[in-house]
Amino acid sequence: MSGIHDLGGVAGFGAVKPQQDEPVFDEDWKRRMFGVFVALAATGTFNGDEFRHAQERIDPSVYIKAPYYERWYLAVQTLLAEKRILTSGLNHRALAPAEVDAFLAAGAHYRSRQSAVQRFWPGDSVIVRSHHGTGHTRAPRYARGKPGIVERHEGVFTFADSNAHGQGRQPQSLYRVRFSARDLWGSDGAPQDEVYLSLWDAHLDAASAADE
Amino acid sequence: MSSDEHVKPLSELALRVKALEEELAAAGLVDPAAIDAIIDAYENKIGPRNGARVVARAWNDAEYKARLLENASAAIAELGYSGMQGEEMVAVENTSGVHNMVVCTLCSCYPWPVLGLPPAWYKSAAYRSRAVSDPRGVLREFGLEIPGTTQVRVWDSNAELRYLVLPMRPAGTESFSEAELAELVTRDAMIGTGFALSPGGADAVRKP
Repeated sequence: MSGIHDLGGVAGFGAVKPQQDEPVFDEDWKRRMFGVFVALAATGTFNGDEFRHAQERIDPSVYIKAPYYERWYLAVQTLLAEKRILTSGLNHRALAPAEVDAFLAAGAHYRSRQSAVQRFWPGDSVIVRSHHGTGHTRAPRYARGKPGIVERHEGVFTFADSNAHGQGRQPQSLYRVRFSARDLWGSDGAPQDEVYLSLWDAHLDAASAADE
Repeated sequence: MSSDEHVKPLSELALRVKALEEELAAAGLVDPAAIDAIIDAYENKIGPRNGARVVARAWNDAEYKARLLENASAAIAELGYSGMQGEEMVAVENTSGVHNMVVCTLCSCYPWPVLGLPPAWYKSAAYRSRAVSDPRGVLREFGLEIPGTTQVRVWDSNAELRYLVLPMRPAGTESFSEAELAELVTRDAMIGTGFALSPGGADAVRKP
């Protein structure tokens, strides 16, 4: 979806205001909300792509104004309701304290051991597809329709766009794609600068095919 | 105190989060003691000192640096750092010709095992929107002027790869131990919005 979360290149937010030595959490509710999210993610209540997509569906004016961890609160509430987690009557399991370190050290699994079609090779010219549907996509608006060069085949990865909708991992090839700042931003881009994105097969067309 | 604007009074948010945790605990979905342990991990154990040790090792050991640039996940795991939001790491090296900078325009993806949790500015709409479109302007807001002879590369963390910037080693550190080198590596230098500290303590200033 071309939602409010897709902020790359959006104007009007002003200067970045870096703060020195800020605490990891400046309020207790923020640290508890963080912990709730990790604990639920650890037992597979939802996956990270679903969590991101739930944030993306927050009302745009709330998304922009709310404190960061309020978006996490709203997203978790959305997922609990949509998945009927608390009303399903199913037995639940909680992550135990003794399991925390091992879970954090292991993380989640995104790279697939399955082989998949590799449509593009380093050096190939590609164009980012313009349309990615109304659901979750990790192809940002600022790159759509833009030309890039494939720098590297990163491997075969869970496809976030479908995993966010409970459609399974659907692993496909992921590529490092390089864009010139001039191609993305016109004369506002510095001529020597570049932006790198990781894009899946489903996000890309060969430049020659798109030209036809 | 955060200067966030918000749509609800903070005390109401705090109550709602408390109620959520209690409801989930009563349903057997979360254990508050596990939540305590998760919080403790990210407040006290996992942070940018991890990444600083990786950078210091790379400065100190050319073979380690080569491994880090070839397979960052494996090299970082050699030092005992791995896992959530750092499963697939890529190290990008700053040189006199290239300055790297990392952002997540779509949300706030960040390499937790080596840097801990991201600062508020990294998650802000201002950074997410302008890091890709005006990196040199953003870097000026951090006090960095990148000369025209240096290319800026912005890495948008839109998939599950996470990026660690390997900042340039400051001059005058040839005799430094790895521990002393790690002291010079700031969090911002590993995101690409800062340089490593010079031995005198002030940020190294890049001369045009």
